[in-house]
Amino acid sequence: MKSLKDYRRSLSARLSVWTVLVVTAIFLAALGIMFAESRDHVRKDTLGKAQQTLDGTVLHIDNTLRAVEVAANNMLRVIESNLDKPDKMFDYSRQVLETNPELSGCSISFEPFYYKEKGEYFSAYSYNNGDSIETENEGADYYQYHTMDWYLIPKLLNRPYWIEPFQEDDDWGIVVQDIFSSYSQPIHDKAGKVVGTFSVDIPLDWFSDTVSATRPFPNSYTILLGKGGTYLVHPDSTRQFYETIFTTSLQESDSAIESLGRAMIAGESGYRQMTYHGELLHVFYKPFKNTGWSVAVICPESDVFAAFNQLRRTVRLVTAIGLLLLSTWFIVSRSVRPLQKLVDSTHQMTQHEFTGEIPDSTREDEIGRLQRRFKALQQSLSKYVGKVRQQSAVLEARRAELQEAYDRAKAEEHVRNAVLHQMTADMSAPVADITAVSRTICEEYQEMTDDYMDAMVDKIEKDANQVGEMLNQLLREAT
Amino acid sequence: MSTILRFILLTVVLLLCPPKVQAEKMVFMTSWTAQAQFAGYYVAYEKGYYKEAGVDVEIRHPSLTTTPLVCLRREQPDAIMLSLMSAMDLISQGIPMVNIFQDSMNSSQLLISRRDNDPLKMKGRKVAIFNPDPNYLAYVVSKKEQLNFQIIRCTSHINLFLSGAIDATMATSYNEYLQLLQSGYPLSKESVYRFSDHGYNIQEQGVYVSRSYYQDHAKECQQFAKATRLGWEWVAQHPEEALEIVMKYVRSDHSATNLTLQRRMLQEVLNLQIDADSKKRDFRVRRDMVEKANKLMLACGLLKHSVTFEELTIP
Repeated sequence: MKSLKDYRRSLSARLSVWTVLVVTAIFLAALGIMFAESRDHVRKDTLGKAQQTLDGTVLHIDNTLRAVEVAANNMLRVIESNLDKPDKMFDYSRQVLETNPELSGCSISFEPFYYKEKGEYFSAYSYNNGDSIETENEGADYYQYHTMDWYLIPKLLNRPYWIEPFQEDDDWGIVVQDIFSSYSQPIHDKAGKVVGTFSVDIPLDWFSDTVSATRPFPNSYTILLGKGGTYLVHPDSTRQFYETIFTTSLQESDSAIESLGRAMIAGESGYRQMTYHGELLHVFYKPFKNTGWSVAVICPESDVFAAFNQLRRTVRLVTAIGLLLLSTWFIVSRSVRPLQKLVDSTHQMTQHEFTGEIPDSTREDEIGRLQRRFKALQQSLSKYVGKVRQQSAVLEARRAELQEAYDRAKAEEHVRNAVLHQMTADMSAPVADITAVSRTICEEYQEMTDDYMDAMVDKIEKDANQVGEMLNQLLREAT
Repeated sequence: MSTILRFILLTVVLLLCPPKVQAEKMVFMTSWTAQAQFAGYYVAYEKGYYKEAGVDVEIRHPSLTTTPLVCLRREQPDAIMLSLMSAMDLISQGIPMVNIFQDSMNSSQLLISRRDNDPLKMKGRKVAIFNPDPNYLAYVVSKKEQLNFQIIRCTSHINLFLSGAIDATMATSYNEYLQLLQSGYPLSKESVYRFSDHGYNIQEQGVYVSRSYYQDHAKECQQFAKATRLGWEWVAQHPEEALEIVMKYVRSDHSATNLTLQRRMLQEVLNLQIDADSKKRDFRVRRDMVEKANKLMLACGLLKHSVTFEELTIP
């Protein structure tokens, strides 16, 4: 049966446990809410930053390209007004590059035999090699520009068109190693007939540098897709210009990448999450107004939630330290719990209680050994005290018996004394008679008749017999 | 040793060991920039099959901004890769060419239209063909099916197609078709017309030399063909290793392609090499296909005169 102390201790322990549990639950809930709020906040912040960076880049490129378009459109009017002066075309193509240093090349090209005196090929081409501007007629049997994208597409569409980046492989005349894109538009004569095309070239490097610089976070990167999904900018240079976003799907379908690619080349703007090579990525994409190309900023999860992860790491560290301390306390507490039991047991032992429970211990350390030895000591003491108590009980019983015997003997003695006293008292009368009779006889012996004498002797004999019986009785009592 | 004996011994040694003659270089020009279509040639070179056969081959890739005829005139390669119909066209124009090796046994030609249209219902529409080696079958089907295509000669089909500047394009199943798939353009079955499925299975790429060159270098040409065949057989047995060699050429040539595309291309090219009848890689010009091509081209006015199997092949 529990003592009041035990009961109080138990109640206190239960209250403590409940308090700890409730406080822990409240703490965890608060921590959870704080984490969720922080995550949401950080997410909104970082994603907003990524979106802003993307918007800024797209706007910057759109504006630059728009400026190129405006410059080209202005020159187109000059060209169309001077179609009767073919040789001026060389000056115009040169002039475009002189006034637009971001452009690397300019072609003013005409349909076969448009200028009969110029033959089948007439294309006034200028190229800015960085040091100077070279100009030539680039058309020839070896360079049949009428079949090239930059000539055919605006001619067939009869409207301006941004040509996908390309690299030419001819090795005659002005050799251009750059990969570039062209803004090409048809040249019309006064009757509105397409008579040629006018193209200005902008190096892909310009886009690469501008787009690659779009890095809202340290590990984020940017890709730029052409209309056919070609990676015009990609952090992996072996894929840039050589692969499209769908290339890997030729071998193994990847629906996430394909879906992103289709959305991008369809000119959509958006945001999506996707897993690529086991990593969660946040992708923002937006098309350029002018070219139809699409740029995407790709932010790894680790970047988007870098601040949040830092907070989480700190909280984890603090929690870990707390748990470590708690564990240490728990372990130490658990380790010294036997000692506490031993203290309690010792206390009980000082109160002559040797039956307090000391559990068995399997621990091999000092505390385990102490616990086992203390238990052995307790058991030994308990046995010893048990024996002592048993012997005490025996002794007590014996003492009680002795006391009882003593009391009984004393009572018997008292009775015996009373009896003796009574007997002595009883004997005194006959003895006194005997004495008185004897004295009378001795004093009056002469004067006594024989009868009287006989009567005296009989009396003495009677009293003597009475005394003799009393003595016999006394002797009987004495034994 | 007497002077006479020394003279006799020297004479015997000279007779037994003829002076080493430096092999004349044979410049071979492919029909396109570096890609898996030419894997057998690359392998024959890299594995030393040409050298072992005693031919000093130099592999060149053409500029895409011109035509084979201009290439022949300008760069004067000894051997050039042409489609069967192109070779017949050149021969009919008076340029005697002779086939020394045929690596394609089937037609890879496709007509692909935009927006799921049936290519044979695109009357009067703009159809792109390849300028350096025209897709003659586009003319044939246009004429035979009375489609009156507006033929647009281009250097590269893909951007033209994606831009919407044309309504359909000719393509090869091993190159442009794969490029279109790679561009993410949705292609339905209905929009792809495979010529070989409609009675137009005419073999394509082969290696040609001028008849005069062949007359002077018959042995080299035969050795070239033998070594090339060995190259292709090795490719068929070791496609992945062959791709490594292909990619070496691709990188060197700065071709805008990639390993994945080249792998698919090689698979298709190897399939196209298997003859429909013998089910083997025969590497030969088929008389029936020459006759069929001759008939189709003549009917469409693509040949000035009939070109016979004998004119085209080694006597």
